[in-house]
Amino acid sequence: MSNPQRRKQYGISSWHGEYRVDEADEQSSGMVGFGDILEVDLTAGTHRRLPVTEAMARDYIGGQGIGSYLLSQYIPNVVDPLGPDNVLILSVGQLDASVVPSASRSTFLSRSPNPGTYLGMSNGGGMVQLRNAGFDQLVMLGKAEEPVYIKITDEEVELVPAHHLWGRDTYETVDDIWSELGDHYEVACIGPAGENLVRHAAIIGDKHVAWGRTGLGAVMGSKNLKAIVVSGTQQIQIAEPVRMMRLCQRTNEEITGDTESIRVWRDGGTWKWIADVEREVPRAPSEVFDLDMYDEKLDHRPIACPGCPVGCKHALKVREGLKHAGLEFIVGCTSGTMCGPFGAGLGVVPVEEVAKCAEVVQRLGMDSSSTAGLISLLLELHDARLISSEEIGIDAHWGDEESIVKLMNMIARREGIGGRLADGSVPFAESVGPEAVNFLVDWKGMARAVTSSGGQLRSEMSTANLAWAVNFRGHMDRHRYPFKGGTADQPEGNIETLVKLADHLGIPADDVPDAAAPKSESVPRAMRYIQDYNTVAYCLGFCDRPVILNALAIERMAEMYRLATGIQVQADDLLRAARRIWNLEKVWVTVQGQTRQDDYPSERYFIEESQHEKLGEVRTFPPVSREVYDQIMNDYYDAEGWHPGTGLPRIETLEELGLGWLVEEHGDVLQPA
Amino acid sequence: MPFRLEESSKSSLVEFERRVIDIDAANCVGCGLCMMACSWVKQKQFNPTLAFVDIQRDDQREGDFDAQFTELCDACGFCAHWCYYDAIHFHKPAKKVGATNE
Repeated sequence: MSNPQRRKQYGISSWHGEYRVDEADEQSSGMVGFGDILEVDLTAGTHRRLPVTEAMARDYIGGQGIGSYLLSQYIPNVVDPLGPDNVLILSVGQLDASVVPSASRSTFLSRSPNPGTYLGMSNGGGMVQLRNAGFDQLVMLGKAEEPVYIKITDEEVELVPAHHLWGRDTYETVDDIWSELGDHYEVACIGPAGENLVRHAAIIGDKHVAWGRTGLGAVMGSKNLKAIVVSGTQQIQIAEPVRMMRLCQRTNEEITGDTESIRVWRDGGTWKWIADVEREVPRAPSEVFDLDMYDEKLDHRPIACPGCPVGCKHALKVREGLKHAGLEFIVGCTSGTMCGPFGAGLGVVPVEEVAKCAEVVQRLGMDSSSTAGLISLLLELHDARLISSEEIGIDAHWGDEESIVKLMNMIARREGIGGRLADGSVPFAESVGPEAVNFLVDWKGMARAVTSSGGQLRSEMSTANLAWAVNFRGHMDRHRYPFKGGTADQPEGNIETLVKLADHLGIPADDVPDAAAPKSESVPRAMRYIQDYNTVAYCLGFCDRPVILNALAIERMAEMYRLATGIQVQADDLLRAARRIWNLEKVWVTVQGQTRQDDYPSERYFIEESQHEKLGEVRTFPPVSREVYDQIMNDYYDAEGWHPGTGLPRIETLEELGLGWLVEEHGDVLQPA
Repeated sequence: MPFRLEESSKSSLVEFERRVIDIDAANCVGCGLCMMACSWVKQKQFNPTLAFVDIQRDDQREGDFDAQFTELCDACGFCAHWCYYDAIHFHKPAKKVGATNE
């Protein structure tokens, strides 16, 4: 049992007993390629290096899994998200910076400052050089007295004064740091939004990687931390390099062998995949739905994350003769950052204006989905005459790029009504009045991301839709592979895909969903397996593009993990560890205050019908039935081994996963009187 | 995936023992798989900073890369195997006319 007094000092010896490291100074010989934990105390200006122990690796895999464990240890109780006691953790995927295909993802973890969101967790491709510098995890504590950035190299960890960078946008900040230090540094920084504690501020890396949702940019801002810069030159140890090289080459060939998918990803990235392949889009007049127009107006070419054979990020340049001609920037997700929020969501018609909006939102350092969600809420309230143009302060309307850019600047700098919007959608709607609350389309306080049809919860449930509802950090891309049907990657419907991919996902034979059963029964029962599979992929640093995960059966991931680390685990062990991570996160968000009610979307989903267009045919879907949704949730909690009524994990479930220590520490929350 | 490499003279085409390898920076997307593969096959380490192929950000245009071989490259062609973007091309040595095993 830990000693709370010692834990308060963030002492490593106060961690849960099994991971005591005072007697194990070095990694045990049975594990290879694990970097250390770098703990930086911004208040004191000190840092120290702590090892990842073999027990920790066995129980939490690595990367984000160990990050979640550290989060639970550094933040054992309710914490003020923007106070100095909040902790920001950067976890780099366990196979990152090696030859493993697409393994380049890293995750920021913290207590989310966005009202209604609890777990702050955001995933992006980059900062992999942290592993070359010898670290897997970066833990940032306290608050610097003045603006600083953390500089990490092989030899040293340094807090560098950053007065000259404060107030600069994310592109300027990166350029300044590159001209100071050299452009081989990877930079993750915040813009004006993070500095001004906008509740949905993002962390932007190398001018295009976005750790977008859940507002972690504001956590950096609250710590006076402008940027994290890292350059490493050390090798990545692989236990069995020859076999690893062979396996990775085979996997790369399988991924790139799906030439049709690869073509789509490289031609237009995520947006092309949604608009061209899935062909099911919310109705909006924007030109972004016309892919010929997209090609005609933008000079674009693919960019890849480190080690990725797919290359779905895009460098864009607006062609001559158009508004914003010559505007060039990189966008990581053409759907989530650009076309979805501004084209489909806010109805900006010309492609070049959509591009401008995306550039501005990246420069300001804000999550594009939340930003567009807030602005569409504002415009809807204006249409409904609940808020006047005078109150908004500018003449804003749908599809008008200039007013949208103005509003984004107002939000990032907290000017005028921007200051109210910057506090989050729920507080904003409440400040307008009780009627305004009915206009919200939120999940856990986060505006719906208009990235794909998965954004609409419909009576036709799929695992992709349910994943939006039950993941701990609100509405975002996570834990939803395999996607629903109708794509080049997954030609069948959701359940058919699940049945076919049962082995791929590691679903035990007796739990394979019944294709004949109603979706509302089979989908929630299958959900936990999908979460476990995806959690393993995230811990290892894999990207969730279907074309990649299609080549990564759980057995393949386990083999890669064995070859890389030398730890002899089987697929079942990894899935069990993933389940442990999921339950640990569940307990953590419960301690932070999340309840069953938070797994429900805004009321509007239960009242309003939604329209989608597929191949030119408009389909109308009825509102979600509350009874059906209740039942789905009950089934899901039950399948997870949680109490259906409260959504709290059962004590037996936690004990079975070796998380009995959580019951000892948080029994009052887990077993309410 | 730009890393800091030692300064040395660089070129976009290398010829060595009749093997030829060339690199087309316009197709490079900066994934860095070539650097990883090279460092392993030549230095027995997964460490792009030791690679004989060098990918750096091009400061002329956002998202472009400057891709070249360092002077240590012997045109073995391993990196070309690991390039999935048609940026590195390996030309096998042409057979000598009339060459036999005698």
